[in-house]
Amino acid sequence: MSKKITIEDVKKTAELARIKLTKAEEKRFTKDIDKTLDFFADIQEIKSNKVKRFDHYQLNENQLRTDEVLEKEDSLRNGIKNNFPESKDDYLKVKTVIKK
Amino acid sequence: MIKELHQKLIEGEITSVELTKKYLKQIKKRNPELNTFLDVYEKQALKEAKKVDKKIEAGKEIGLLEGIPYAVKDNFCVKDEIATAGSKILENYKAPYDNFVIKKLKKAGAILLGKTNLDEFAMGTSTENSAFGVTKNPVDTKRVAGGSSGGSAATVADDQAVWSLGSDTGGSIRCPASFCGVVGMKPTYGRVSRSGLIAMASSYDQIGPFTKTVEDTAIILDEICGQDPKDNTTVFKNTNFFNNLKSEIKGKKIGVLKEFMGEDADKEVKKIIQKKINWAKKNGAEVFDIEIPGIKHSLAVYYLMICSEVSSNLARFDGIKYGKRKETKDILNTYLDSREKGLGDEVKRRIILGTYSLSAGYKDAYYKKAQEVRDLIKQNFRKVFEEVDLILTPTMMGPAFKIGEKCDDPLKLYLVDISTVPVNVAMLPAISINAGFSKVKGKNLPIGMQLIGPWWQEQSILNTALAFEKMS
Repeated sequence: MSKKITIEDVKKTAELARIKLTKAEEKRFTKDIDKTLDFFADIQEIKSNKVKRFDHYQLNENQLRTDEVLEKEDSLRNGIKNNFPESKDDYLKVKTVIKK
Repeated sequence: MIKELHQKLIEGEITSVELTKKYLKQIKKRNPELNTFLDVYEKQALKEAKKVDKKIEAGKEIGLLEGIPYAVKDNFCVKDEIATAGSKILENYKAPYDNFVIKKLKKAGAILLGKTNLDEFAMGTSTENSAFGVTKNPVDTKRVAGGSSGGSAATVADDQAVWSLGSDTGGSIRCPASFCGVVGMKPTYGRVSRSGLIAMASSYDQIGPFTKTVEDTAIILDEICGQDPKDNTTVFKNTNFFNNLKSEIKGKKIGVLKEFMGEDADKEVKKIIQKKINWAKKNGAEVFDIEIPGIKHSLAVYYLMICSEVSSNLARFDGIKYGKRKETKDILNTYLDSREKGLGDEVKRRIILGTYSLSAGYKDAYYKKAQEVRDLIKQNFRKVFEEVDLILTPTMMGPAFKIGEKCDDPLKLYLVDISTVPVNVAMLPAISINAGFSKVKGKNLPIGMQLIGPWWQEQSILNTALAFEKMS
Protein backbone atom coordinates (compact mmCIF):
# COMPACT_ATOMS: atom_id res chain seq x y z
CA MET A 1 0.00 0.00 0.00
CA SER A 2 2.86 2.33 -0.69
CA LYS A 3 0.89 3.96 -3.51
CA LYS A 4 0.36 7.62 -2.81
CA ILE A 5 -3.16 9.02 -2.81
CA THR A 6 -3.53 11.61 -5.56
CA ILE A 7 -5.69 14.67 -5.75
CA GLU A 8 -7.73 12.83 -8.41
CA ASP A 9 -8.38 9.95 -5.95
CA VAL A 10 -9.58 12.42 -3.34
CA LYS A 11 -11.86 14.17 -5.85
CA LYS A 12 -13.36 10.89 -7.00
CA THR A 13 -13.82 9.54 -3.46
CA ALA A 14 -15.35 12.80 -2.26
CA GLU A 15 -17.83 12.67 -5.10
CA LEU A 16 -18.80 9.10 -4.19
CA ALA A 17 -19.22 10.16 -0.57
CA ARG A 18 -21.34 13.14 -1.68
CA ILE A 19 -18.87 15.62 -0.26
CA LYS A 20 -18.23 18.82 -2.17
CA LEU A 21 -14.74 20.20 -1.79
CA THR A 22 -13.23 23.52 -2.72
CA LYS A 23 -9.91 23.56 -4.59
CA ALA A 24 -8.10 24.47 -1.38
CA GLU A 25 -9.82 21.65 0.53
CA GLU A 26 -8.90 19.14 -2.17
CA LYS A 27 -5.26 20.02 -1.72
CA ARG A 28 -5.34 20.09 2.06
CA PHE A 29 -7.30 16.85 2.37
CA THR A 30 -4.98 15.04 -0.04
CA LYS A 31 -2.05 15.98 2.15
CA ASP A 32 -3.81 15.03 5.41
CA ILE A 33 -5.18 11.76 4.06
CA ASP A 34 -1.87 10.78 2.50
CA LYS A 35 -0.16 11.28 5.84
CA THR A 36 -2.81 9.20 7.61
CA LEU A 37 -2.58 6.40 5.04
CA ASP A 38 1.18 6.29 5.59
CA PHE A 39 0.41 5.82 9.24
CA PHE A 40 -1.95 2.93 8.37
CA ALA A 41 0.79 1.28 6.28
CA ASP A 42 2.29 0.04 9.55
CA ILE A 43 -0.26 -2.70 9.99
CA GLN A 44 0.22 -4.10 6.49
CA GLU A 45 3.38 -5.85 7.65
CA ILE A 46 1.70 -7.78 10.46
CA LYS A 47 0.99 -11.43 9.84
CA SER A 48 -2.62 -11.62 10.89
CA ASN A 49 -4.43 -13.91 8.48
CA LYS A 50 -4.17 -16.87 10.86
CA VAL A 51 -5.36 -15.00 13.94
CA LYS A 52 -8.39 -16.63 15.54
CA ARG A 53 -11.46 -14.46 15.88
CA PHE A 54 -11.97 -13.50 19.48
CA ASP A 55 -15.47 -12.97 20.74
CA HIS A 56 -15.73 -11.53 24.25
CA TYR A 57 -19.39 -12.49 24.60
CA GLN A 58 -18.75 -16.25 24.74
CA LEU A 59 -22.42 -16.95 24.07
CA ASN A 60 -23.49 -20.45 23.15
CA GLU A 61 -26.22 -19.41 20.79
CA ASN A 62 -27.21 -16.53 18.61
CA GLN A 63 -29.30 -13.75 20.08
CA LEU A 64 -32.12 -13.18 17.65
CA ARG A 65 -35.30 -11.26 18.04
CA THR A 66 -38.55 -12.28 16.47
CA ASP A 67 -39.34 -10.82 13.11
CA GLU A 68 -42.60 -9.08 13.78
CA VAL A 69 -44.48 -5.90 12.99
CA LEU A 70 -44.53 -3.60 16.00
CA GLU A 71 -47.28 -1.08 16.47
CA LYS A 72 -45.80 2.35 17.09
CA GLU A 73 -47.53 5.27 18.70
CA ASP A 74 -48.62 8.23 16.57
CA SER A 75 -46.26 10.59 18.39
CA LEU A 76 -43.29 8.67 16.98
CA ARG A 77 -44.72 8.77 13.46
CA ASN A 78 -45.43 12.49 13.80
CA GLY A 79 -42.01 13.13 15.28
CA ILE A 80 -40.40 11.57 12.24
CA LYS A 81 -42.65 13.46 9.84
CA ASN A 82 -42.04 16.77 11.58
CA ASN A 83 -38.35 16.41 10.78
CA PHE A 84 -39.00 16.18 7.02
CA PRO A 85 -37.30 19.17 5.38
CA GLU A 86 -40.18 19.27 2.90
CA SER A 87 -43.44 17.35 2.72
CA LYS A 88 -46.70 17.17 0.87
CA ASP A 89 -49.78 15.71 2.53
CA ASP A 90 -48.29 12.82 4.47
CA TYR A 91 -45.32 12.26 2.18
CA LEU A 92 -41.66 13.22 2.18
CA LYS A 93 -40.92 15.42 -0.80
CA VAL A 94 -37.65 15.09 -2.72
CA LYS A 95 -36.28 16.24 -6.04
CA THR A 96 -36.89 13.98 -9.03
CA VAL A 97 -34.63 10.94 -8.83
CA ILE A 98 -35.56 9.18 -12.08
CA LYS A 99 -35.77 11.34 -15.15
CA LYS A 100 -38.67 10.94 -17.57
CA MET B 1 -22.32 12.06 46.67
CA ILE B 2 -25.54 10.63 45.20
CA LYS B 3 -26.13 8.51 48.29
CA GLU B 4 -25.74 11.53 50.55
CA LEU B 5 -28.04 13.69 48.41
CA HIS B 6 -30.59 10.88 48.36
CA GLN B 7 -30.44 10.74 52.15
CA LYS B 8 -31.00 14.49 52.38
CA LEU B 9 -33.97 14.23 50.05
CA ILE B 10 -35.73 11.51 52.01
CA GLU B 11 -34.99 13.17 55.32
CA GLY B 12 -36.47 16.41 54.03
CA GLU B 13 -33.26 18.32 54.56
CA ILE B 14 -33.47 19.54 50.97
CA THR B 15 -36.11 19.23 48.25
CA SER B 16 -35.51 18.11 44.71
CA VAL B 17 -36.72 21.52 43.49
CA GLU B 18 -34.16 23.28 45.68
CA LEU B 19 -31.43 20.95 44.50
CA THR B 20 -32.39 21.41 40.85
CA LYS B 21 -32.50 25.19 41.28
CA LYS B 22 -29.05 25.15 42.83
CA TYR B 23 -27.59 23.45 39.76
CA LEU B 24 -29.59 25.59 37.33
CA LYS B 25 -28.17 28.66 39.05
CA GLN B 26 -24.63 27.41 38.60
CA ILE B 27 -25.34 26.69 34.91
CA LYS B 28 -26.65 30.22 34.40
CA LYS B 29 -23.61 31.66 36.10
CA ARG B 30 -20.94 29.58 34.38
CA ASN B 31 -22.31 28.38 31.06
CA PRO B 32 -21.80 31.70 29.22
CA GLU B 33 -18.08 31.46 29.89
CA LEU B 34 -17.45 27.70 29.75
CA ASN B 35 -19.94 26.70 27.03
CA THR B 36 -20.77 23.41 28.71
CA PHE B 37 -24.47 23.21 27.80
CA LEU B 38 -26.05 23.47 24.35
CA ASP B 39 -29.58 23.33 25.72
CA VAL B 40 -31.01 23.68 29.24
CA TYR B 41 -34.44 22.29 30.19
CA GLU B 42 -35.20 24.55 33.13
CA LYS B 43 -38.99 24.32 33.07
CA GLN B 44 -39.15 20.59 32.46
CA ALA B 45 -36.49 19.88 35.11
CA LEU B 46 -38.36 21.84 37.77
CA LYS B 47 -41.61 20.15 36.82
CA GLU B 48 -40.07 16.72 37.24
CA ALA B 49 -38.40 17.76 40.50
CA LYS B 50 -41.76 18.89 41.87
CA LYS B 51 -43.20 15.46 41.10
CA VAL B 52 -40.45 13.79 43.10
CA ASP B 53 -40.99 16.18 46.02
CA LYS B 54 -44.70 15.33 46.04
CA LYS B 55 -43.85 11.66 46.15
CA ILE B 56 -41.53 12.18 49.10
CA GLU B 57 -44.15 14.29 50.88
CA ALA B 58 -46.66 11.50 50.40
CA GLY B 59 -44.28 9.19 52.20
CA LYS B 60 -43.53 7.09 49.14
CA GLU B 61 -40.17 5.43 48.64
CA ILE B 62 -37.84 6.91 46.03
CA GLY B 63 -34.95 5.38 44.08
CA LEU B 64 -31.32 6.44 44.44
CA LEU B 65 -31.28 8.57 41.30
CA GLU B 66 -34.77 9.96 41.78
CA GLY B 67 -34.83 13.74 42.11
CA ILE B 68 -31.08 14.04 41.39
CA PRO B 69 -30.14 16.40 38.52
CA TYR B 70 -27.93 15.14 35.69
CA ALA B 71 -26.84 16.16 32.19
CA VAL B 72 -26.39 14.27 28.96
CA LYS B 73 -24.16 14.64 25.90
CA ASP B 74 -25.99 16.07 22.90
CA ASN B 75 -25.64 12.91 20.79
CA PHE B 76 -28.30 11.20 22.93
CA CYS B 77 -31.86 11.31 21.63
CA VAL B 78 -34.37 12.75 24.09
CA LYS B 79 -37.92 12.70 22.77
CA ASP B 80 -39.13 16.04 21.38
CA GLU B 81 -35.85 17.78 22.18
CA ILE B 82 -33.19 18.99 19.75
CA ALA B 83 -30.26 16.59 19.28
CA THR B 84 -27.45 18.29 17.36
CA ALA B 85 -24.57 15.86 17.93
CA GLY B 86 -22.49 19.05 17.77
CA SER B 87 -23.23 19.45 14.05
CA LYS B 88 -24.82 22.22 12.01
CA ILE B 89 -26.59 19.64 9.89
CA LEU B 90 -28.73 18.59 12.90
CA GLU B 91 -29.16 22.09 14.32
CA ASN B 92 -32.96 21.81 14.15
CA TYR B 93 -33.36 18.05 14.47
CA LYS B 94 -35.93 17.08 17.08
CA ALA B 95 -35.53 13.50 18.24
CA PRO B 96 -38.78 11.54 17.78
CA TYR B 97 -37.96 9.01 20.51
CA ASP B 98 -35.91 8.44 23.66
CA ASN B 99 -32.51 6.80 23.77
CA PHE B 100 -32.75 3.47 25.68
CA VAL B 101 -30.76 4.77 28.64
CA ILE B 102 -32.72 8.03 28.78
CA LYS B 103 -35.94 6.03 28.86
CA LYS B 104 -34.63 4.08 31.85
CA LEU B 105 -33.54 7.24 33.62
CA LYS B 106 -36.89 8.91 33.06
CA LYS B 107 -38.50 5.89 34.67
CA ALA B 108 -36.03 6.12 37.54
CA GLY B 109 -37.06 9.75 38.11
CA ALA B 110 -33.64 11.32 37.45
CA ILE B 111 -33.88 15.04 36.63
CA LEU B 112 -32.46 15.92 33.20
CA LEU B 113 -30.99 19.43 33.23
CA GLY B 114 -30.02 19.61 29.58
CA LYS B 115 -27.65 18.63 26.78
CA THR B 116 -23.90 19.13 26.84
CA ASN B 117 -21.41 20.20 24.18
CA LEU B 118 -19.27 17.75 22.18
CA ASP B 119 -17.02 17.49 19.14
CA GLU B 120 -19.10 17.20 15.98
CA PHE B 121 -20.51 13.65 15.88
CA ALA B 122 -18.17 12.86 18.79
CA MET B 123 -15.07 13.10 16.59
CA GLY B 124 -12.30 14.79 18.51
CA THR B 125 -10.33 15.10 21.71
CA SER B 126 -11.05 18.68 22.67
CA THR B 127 -14.60 19.80 21.63
CA GLU B 128 -12.80 22.20 19.28
CA ASN B 129 -14.63 20.41 16.45
CA SER B 130 -18.06 21.35 17.84
CA ALA B 131 -20.08 23.50 15.46
CA PHE B 132 -21.17 25.44 18.54
CA GLY B 133 -17.79 26.48 19.93
CA VAL B 134 -15.26 24.95 22.29
CA THR B 135 -15.99 23.97 25.91
CA LYS B 136 -13.45 25.54 28.22
CA ASN B 137 -11.81 23.68 31.07
CA PRO B 138 -13.26 24.88 34.41
CA VAL B 139 -9.82 24.59 36.02
CA ASP B 140 -8.13 26.82 33.42
CA THR B 141 -10.34 28.49 30.84
CA LYS B 142 -7.44 28.89 28.41
CA ARG B 143 -7.40 25.11 28.09
CA VAL B 144 -9.68 22.51 26.53
CA ALA B 145 -11.97 20.34 28.64
CA GLY B 146 -11.02 17.32 26.51
CA GLY B 147 -13.27 15.43 24.18
CA SER B 148 -15.32 14.42 22.71
CA SER B 149 -17.63 14.45 25.78
CA GLY B 150 -16.01 17.69 27.00
CA GLY B 151 -19.27 19.35 28.01
CA SER B 152 -20.35 16.40 30.14
CA ALA B 153 -17.02 16.24 32.00
CA ALA B 154 -16.77 20.00 32.60
CA THR B 155 -20.38 20.09 33.79
CA VAL B 156 -19.65 17.63 36.60
CA ALA B 157 -16.29 19.20 37.46
CA ASP B 158 -17.90 22.63 37.72
CA ASP B 159 -20.94 21.49 39.78
CA GLN B 160 -23.42 22.24 37.01
CA ALA B 161 -24.82 18.72 37.40
CA VAL B 162 -24.40 15.96 39.97
CA TRP B 163 -23.43 13.50 37.27
CA SER B 164 -23.63 13.16 33.50
CA LEU B 165 -23.51 10.77 30.59
CA GLY B 166 -21.13 10.64 27.67
CA SER B 167 -20.13 8.24 24.93
CA ASP B 168 -16.68 6.75 24.39
CA THR B 169 -15.46 5.57 20.99
CA GLY B 170 -11.70 5.93 21.49
CA GLY B 171 -11.44 7.72 24.82
CA SER B 172 -14.21 10.31 24.61
CA ILE B 173 -15.22 9.73 28.24
CA ARG B 174 -11.84 9.02 29.80
CA CYS B 175 -9.95 11.87 28.12
CA PRO B 176 -12.19 14.70 29.35
CA ALA B 177 -12.53 12.97 32.74
CA SER B 178 -8.74 13.10 33.02
CA PHE B 179 -8.51 16.73 31.86
CA CYS B 180 -11.29 17.91 34.20
CA GLY B 181 -10.38 15.78 37.21
CA VAL B 182 -13.53 13.68 37.51
CA VAL B 183 -14.35 9.97 37.31
CA GLY B 184 -15.24 8.66 33.85
CA MET B 185 -15.98 5.10 32.86
CA LYS B 186 -16.31 3.22 29.61
CA PRO B 187 -18.03 -0.12 30.20
CA THR B 188 -17.40 -3.35 28.26
CA TYR B 189 -18.73 -3.13 24.70
CA GLY B 190 -22.22 -4.63 24.93
CA ARG B 191 -23.01 -3.53 28.49
CA VAL B 192 -25.04 -0.45 27.56
CA SER B 193 -27.46 -0.14 24.67
CA ARG B 194 -26.60 2.27 21.87
CA SER B 195 -30.11 2.62 20.51
CA GLY B 196 -30.95 6.31 20.34
CA LEU B 197 -27.30 7.33 20.51
CA ILE B 198 -26.34 9.10 17.29
CA ALA B 199 -23.79 6.68 15.87
CA MET B 200 -20.18 7.45 15.15
CA ALA B 201 -18.47 4.04 14.83
CA SER B 202 -20.86 1.25 15.73
CA SER B 203 -18.32 -1.39 16.74
CA TYR B 204 -16.58 1.05 19.09
CA ASP B 205 -19.22 3.38 20.62
CA GLN B 206 -20.19 2.78 24.24
CA ILE B 207 -22.13 4.93 26.73
CA GLY B 208 -20.78 5.64 30.20
CA PRO B 209 -21.01 8.02 33.18
CA PHE B 210 -19.08 11.00 34.58
CA THR B 211 -19.23 11.39 38.35
CA LYS B 212 -17.41 12.93 41.28
CA THR B 213 -16.87 9.57 43.01
CA VAL B 214 -16.32 5.90 42.17
CA GLU B 215 -19.37 5.01 44.25
CA ASP B 216 -21.57 7.24 42.07
CA THR B 217 -20.24 5.51 38.96
CA ALA B 218 -21.30 2.14 40.43
CA ILE B 219 -24.79 3.51 41.15
CA ILE B 220 -25.22 4.81 37.62
CA LEU B 221 -23.85 1.71 35.92
CA ASP B 222 -26.45 -0.37 37.77
CA GLU B 223 -29.12 1.85 36.26
CA ILE B 224 -27.93 2.12 32.65
CA CYS B 225 -26.65 -1.39 31.87
CA GLY B 226 -28.85 -4.07 30.42
CA GLN B 227 -30.16 -5.85 27.41
CA ASP B 228 -32.11 -3.96 24.76
CA PRO B 229 -33.86 -5.78 21.92
CA LYS B 230 -33.04 -2.78 19.72
CA ASP B 231 -29.30 -3.23 20.18
CA ASN B 232 -28.31 -6.79 19.44
CA THR B 233 -24.81 -6.26 20.82
CA THR B 234 -26.19 -5.94 24.36
CA VAL B 235 -26.50 -9.02 26.53
CA PHE B 236 -28.28 -9.89 29.72
CA LYS B 237 -25.98 -9.85 32.72
CA ASN B 238 -26.98 -9.43 36.32
CA THR B 239 -25.34 -6.35 37.74
CA ASN B 240 -25.18 -5.12 41.28
CA PHE B 241 -22.10 -2.95 41.22
CA PHE B 242 -23.17 -0.65 44.01
CA ASN B 243 -24.01 -3.34 46.56
CA ASN B 244 -20.86 -5.29 45.77
CA LEU B 245 -18.62 -2.24 45.92
CA LYS B 246 -15.74 -2.67 48.36
CA SER B 247 -12.24 -1.28 48.45
CA GLU B 248 -9.76 -3.84 47.06
CA ILE B 249 -6.03 -3.48 46.68
CA LYS B 250 -4.33 -6.23 48.73
CA GLY B 251 -3.43 -9.21 46.57
CA LYS B 252 -4.56 -7.51 43.34
CA LYS B 253 -2.29 -8.28 40.42
CA ILE B 254 -1.74 -5.04 38.56
CA GLY B 255 0.10 -4.84 35.26
CA VAL B 256 1.82 -1.59 34.35
CA LEU B 257 2.12 -1.03 30.63
CA LYS B 258 5.72 0.00 30.08
CA GLU B 259 4.77 1.37 26.68
CA PHE B 260 2.82 4.25 28.21
CA MET B 261 5.30 5.12 30.93
CA GLY B 262 8.05 5.84 28.44
CA GLU B 263 9.04 8.82 26.34
CA ASP B 264 5.52 9.68 25.20
CA ALA B 265 4.38 10.55 28.69
CA ASP B 266 4.94 13.91 30.29
CA LYS B 267 7.49 13.83 33.15
CA GLU B 268 5.01 15.12 35.69
CA VAL B 269 2.42 12.52 34.61
CA LYS B 270 4.91 9.70 35.08
CA LYS B 271 5.81 10.99 38.54
CA ILE B 272 2.17 11.14 39.62
CA ILE B 273 1.34 7.67 38.28
CA GLN B 274 4.52 6.19 39.79
CA LYS B 275 3.41 7.50 43.19
CA LYS B 276 0.14 5.58 42.80
CA ILE B 277 2.01 2.43 41.80
CA ASN B 278 4.26 2.71 44.86
CA TRP B 279 1.23 3.14 47.09
CA ALA B 280 -0.41 0.05 45.56
CA LYS B 281 2.73 -2.01 46.20
CA LYS B 282 2.93 -0.80 49.77
CA ASN B 283 -0.63 -1.85 50.34
CA GLY B 284 -0.23 -5.39 49.17
CA ALA B 285 -0.86 -5.23 45.44
CA GLU B 286 1.44 -7.27 43.20
CA VAL B 287 2.70 -4.99 40.47
CA PHE B 288 4.24 -6.28 37.23
CA ASP B 289 5.70 -4.58 34.20
CA ILE B 290 3.83 -5.90 31.21
CA GLU B 291 3.96 -5.65 27.47
CA ILE B 292 1.14 -6.25 25.05
CA PRO B 293 2.47 -7.19 21.62
CA GLY B 294 0.81 -5.26 18.86
CA ILE B 295 -0.68 -2.60 21.14
CA LYS B 296 1.18 0.15 19.30
CA HIS B 297 -0.83 -0.74 16.19
CA SER B 298 -4.08 0.08 18.00
CA LEU B 299 -4.17 3.64 16.72
CA ALA B 300 -3.83 2.65 13.08
CA VAL B 301 -6.47 -0.07 13.47
CA TYR B 302 -8.74 2.33 15.29
CA TYR B 303 -8.57 5.26 12.87
CA LEU B 304 -8.88 2.99 9.87
CA MET B 305 -11.94 1.21 11.21
CA ILE B 306 -13.71 4.22 12.66
CA CYS B 307 -13.28 6.25 9.48
CA SER B 308 -14.80 3.36 7.55
CA GLU B 309 -17.71 3.03 9.96
CA VAL B 310 -18.16 6.81 10.07
CA SER B 311 -18.38 7.02 6.29
CA SER B 312 -21.18 4.49 6.35
CA ASN B 313 -23.01 5.80 9.46
CA LEU B 314 -22.95 9.41 8.32
CA ALA B 315 -24.24 8.74 4.81
CA ARG B 316 -27.73 9.34 6.22
CA PHE B 317 -27.03 13.02 6.80
CA ASP B 318 -27.82 14.23 3.33
CA GLY B 319 -30.69 16.65 3.83
CA ILE B 320 -33.34 14.23 2.62
CA LYS B 321 -35.25 12.83 5.60
CA TYR B 322 -34.11 15.25 8.29
CA GLY B 323 -31.56 17.91 9.00
CA LYS B 324 -30.72 20.93 6.97
CA ARG B 325 -31.65 20.70 3.29
CA LYS B 326 -30.23 23.05 0.71
CA GLU B 327 -32.64 23.44 -2.19
CA THR B 328 -30.95 22.99 -5.57
CA LYS B 329 -31.75 22.14 -9.16
CA ASP B 330 -31.41 18.36 -8.83
CA ILE B 331 -31.09 15.59 -6.26
CA LEU B 332 -27.31 15.17 -6.55
CA ASN B 333 -26.74 18.83 -5.79
CA THR B 334 -29.18 18.62 -2.87
CA TYR B 335 -26.95 15.95 -1.33
CA LEU B 336 -23.76 17.82 -2.09
CA ASP B 337 -24.88 21.23 -0.92
CA SER B 338 -26.66 20.00 2.21
CA ARG B 339 -23.59 18.07 3.32
CA GLU B 340 -21.22 20.89 2.39
CA LYS B 341 -23.08 23.42 4.51
CA GLY B 342 -23.86 21.04 7.34
CA LEU B 343 -20.69 19.07 8.03
CA GLY B 344 -17.39 20.26 9.50
CA ASP B 345 -13.82 19.72 8.36
CA GLU B 346 -12.86 16.75 10.55
CA VAL B 347 -16.08 14.93 9.72
CA LYS B 348 -15.55 15.41 5.97
CA ARG B 349 -11.95 14.26 6.23
CA ARG B 350 -12.95 11.07 8.03
CA ILE B 351 -15.80 10.34 5.62
CA ILE B 352 -13.48 10.62 2.62
CA LEU B 353 -10.78 8.55 4.28
CA GLY B 354 -13.34 5.91 5.22
CA THR B 355 -14.94 5.84 1.80
CA TYR B 356 -11.49 5.43 0.26
CA SER B 357 -10.49 2.56 2.56
CA LEU B 358 -13.77 0.75 1.87
CA SER B 359 -13.61 1.19 -1.89
CA ALA B 360 -13.10 -1.68 -4.32
CA GLY B 361 -9.50 -2.82 -4.42
CA TYR B 362 -8.62 -1.37 -1.02
CA LYS B 363 -11.14 -2.97 1.31
CA ASP B 364 -9.13 -6.13 1.98
CA ALA B 365 -5.90 -4.25 2.45
CA TYR B 366 -7.44 -1.75 4.83
CA TYR B 367 -10.69 -2.61 6.62
CA LYS B 368 -10.30 -6.39 6.59
CA LYS B 369 -6.66 -6.17 7.60
CA ALA B 370 -7.55 -3.82 10.47
CA GLN B 371 -10.22 -6.26 11.65
CA GLU B 372 -7.68 -9.06 11.74
CA VAL B 373 -5.20 -6.97 13.68
CA ARG B 374 -8.03 -5.98 16.03
CA ASP B 375 -8.52 -9.68 16.82
CA LEU B 376 -4.80 -10.07 17.33
CA ILE B 377 -4.79 -7.23 19.86
CA LYS B 378 -7.81 -8.72 21.65
CA GLN B 379 -6.07 -12.11 21.85
CA ASN B 380 -2.97 -10.47 23.28
CA PHE B 381 -5.01 -8.67 25.94
CA ARG B 382 -6.68 -12.00 26.78
CA LYS B 383 -3.28 -13.59 27.36
CA VAL B 384 -2.18 -10.73 29.62
CA PHE B 385 -5.38 -11.02 31.65
CA GLU B 386 -4.45 -14.62 32.43
CA GLU B 387 -1.58 -13.16 34.47
CA VAL B 388 -2.95 -9.90 35.88
CA ASP B 389 -6.31 -8.66 37.24
CA LEU B 390 -6.02 -5.09 36.02
CA ILE B 391 -3.82 -2.92 33.83
CA LEU B 392 -2.78 0.54 34.98
CA THR B 393 -1.80 3.41 32.67
CA PRO B 394 -1.91 7.19 32.65
CA THR B 395 -5.22 8.14 30.96
CA MET B 396 -3.63 10.88 28.89
CA MET B 397 0.06 11.53 28.29
CA GLY B 398 -0.22 15.06 29.65
CA PRO B 399 -2.58 17.60 31.21
CA ALA B 400 -5.28 19.45 29.23
CA PHE B 401 -3.70 21.29 26.34
CA LYS B 402 -4.30 24.90 25.37
CA ILE B 403 -7.20 25.80 23.10
CA GLY B 404 -5.89 25.97 19.53
CA GLU B 405 -2.59 24.29 20.40
CA LYS B 406 -3.09 21.07 18.43
CA CYS B 407 -5.74 22.15 15.98
CA ASP B 408 -3.67 22.44 12.83
CA ASP B 409 -2.38 18.88 12.48
CA PRO B 410 -5.05 16.15 12.57
CA LEU B 411 -2.54 13.30 12.81
CA LYS B 412 -0.88 14.93 15.82
CA LEU B 413 -4.25 15.16 17.51
CA TYR B 414 -5.00 11.50 16.76
CA LEU B 415 -1.85 10.44 18.62
CA VAL B 416 -2.95 11.88 21.97
CA ASP B 417 -5.42 9.00 22.35
CA ILE B 418 -2.62 6.45 22.57
CA SER B 419 -3.55 4.91 25.92
CA THR B 420 -7.35 5.11 25.66
CA VAL B 421 -7.81 3.74 22.13
CA PRO B 422 -6.51 0.16 22.72
CA VAL B 423 -9.35 -0.31 25.24
CA ASN B 424 -12.00 0.35 22.58
CA VAL B 425 -10.13 -1.72 20.02
CA ALA B 426 -10.28 -4.67 22.44
CA MET B 427 -13.84 -3.79 23.63
CA LEU B 428 -12.65 -3.76 27.27
CA PRO B 429 -14.00 -1.81 30.25
CA ALA B 430 -11.85 0.97 31.78
CA ILE B 431 -12.12 3.82 34.24
CA SER B 432 -10.26 7.10 34.58
CA ILE B 433 -9.92 8.57 38.05
CA ASN B 434 -7.97 11.59 39.18
CA ALA B 435 -4.44 10.70 40.26
CA GLY B 436 -3.11 14.13 41.13
CA PHE B 437 -2.32 17.55 39.73
CA SER B 438 0.41 18.96 37.59
CA LYS B 439 1.31 22.52 38.47
CA VAL B 440 1.55 24.58 35.29
CA LYS B 441 1.88 28.36 35.55
CA GLY B 442 0.10 28.59 38.86
CA LYS B 443 -2.77 26.27 37.89
CA ASN B 444 -3.27 22.79 39.25
CA LEU B 445 -4.13 20.77 36.15
CA PRO B 446 -5.73 17.38 36.83
CA ILE B 447 -3.97 14.17 35.74
CA GLY B 448 -5.98 10.99 35.26
CA MET B 449 -5.07 7.37 35.90
CA GLN B 450 -6.66 4.59 33.89
CA LEU B 451 -7.53 1.11 35.16
CA ILE B 452 -8.38 -1.44 32.48
CA GLY B 453 -10.05 -4.74 33.36
CA PRO B 454 -10.98 -7.94 31.53
CA TRP B 455 -14.30 -8.13 29.67
CA TRP B 456 -17.33 -7.80 32.01
CA GLN B 457 -15.10 -7.21 35.07
CA GLU B 458 -16.31 -3.69 35.85
CA GLN B 459 -16.72 -4.71 39.49
CA SER B 460 -13.03 -5.47 39.87
CA ILE B 461 -12.14 -2.12 38.27
CA LEU B 462 -14.56 -0.21 40.51
CA ASN B 463 -13.36 -1.93 43.69
CA THR B 464 -9.71 -1.14 43.03
CA ALA B 465 -10.52 2.38 41.81
CA LEU B 466 -12.30 2.89 45.15
CA ALA B 467 -9.14 1.86 47.01
CA PHE B 468 -7.07 4.39 45.04
CA GLU B 469 -9.70 7.06 45.59
CA LYS B 470 -9.75 6.46 49.35
CA MET B 471 -5.98 6.81 49.47
CA SER B 472 -6.06 10.40 48.25
